[in-house]
Amino acid sequence: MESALVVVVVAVLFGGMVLMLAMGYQSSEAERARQARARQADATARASAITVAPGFFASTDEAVAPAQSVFNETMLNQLEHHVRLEQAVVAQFVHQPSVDNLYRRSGTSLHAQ
Amino acid sequence: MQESLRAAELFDGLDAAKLARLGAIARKRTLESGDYLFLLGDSAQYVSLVVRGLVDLCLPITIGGVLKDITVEAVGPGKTIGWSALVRPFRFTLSARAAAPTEILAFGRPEFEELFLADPAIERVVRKGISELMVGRLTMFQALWARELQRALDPGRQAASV
Repeated sequence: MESALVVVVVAVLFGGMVLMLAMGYQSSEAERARQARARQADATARASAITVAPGFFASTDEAVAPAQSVFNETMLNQLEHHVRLEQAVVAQFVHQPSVDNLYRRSGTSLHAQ
Repeated sequence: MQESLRAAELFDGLDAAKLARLGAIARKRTLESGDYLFLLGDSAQYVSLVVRGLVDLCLPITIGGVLKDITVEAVGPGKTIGWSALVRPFRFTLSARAAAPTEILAFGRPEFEELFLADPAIERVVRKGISELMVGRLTMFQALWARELQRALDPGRQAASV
């Protein structure tokens, strides 16, 4: 009788342990899946932010004219001219950093072209 | 070659004996106008010294759906290009294109590192020169970026300044 009771107690204990292990495994798997979803959502949000960022500098009040969609040598020259002028101004900042040198006027702007 | 090494900013302060050691690992290369020395993203295996001619450092920008290299800096004799070969992740961050017939001296990373081990004084001078080059580039792009950002935020302010 006593031995049967011991067997029952051991069986209950063993069953309980197995059940706890199974539940623990299930909850850790669920947590892992939740973290993976969170990582994916974070990566997607970062990617969208990167995709959207260039628009911050672009003009939003004008549609891009069809002519602009074709490569244009003049545009390239204007861009290089702009970079050269900007770089000449920035060179002063590199040698002597100051707010005045940083925002000194160069007489060129891509937005005006 | 000794004269070119003496005129190099990167080796400023090194005596004739040390310049001779550098000369022993240098490889001469010539480029025609329009030839690319390296492209942005390439594995950076060598630092180059411009001996003659002009090299444009370029950044690829898409204009009207076409990818074009825009010159952001022109590098002449005595100047160094390709510092990425001595700094991880050893990838070029700009493209380099000859703007005229050009002659360069190239120094491979393994040869440089071997020389650095043998003569730490050379390493100190070269690392200092590379640091100054990087600071100059960082400051220049920081300023260019800040100016464009300022224009985007408040186009009128820059026109009113200085």
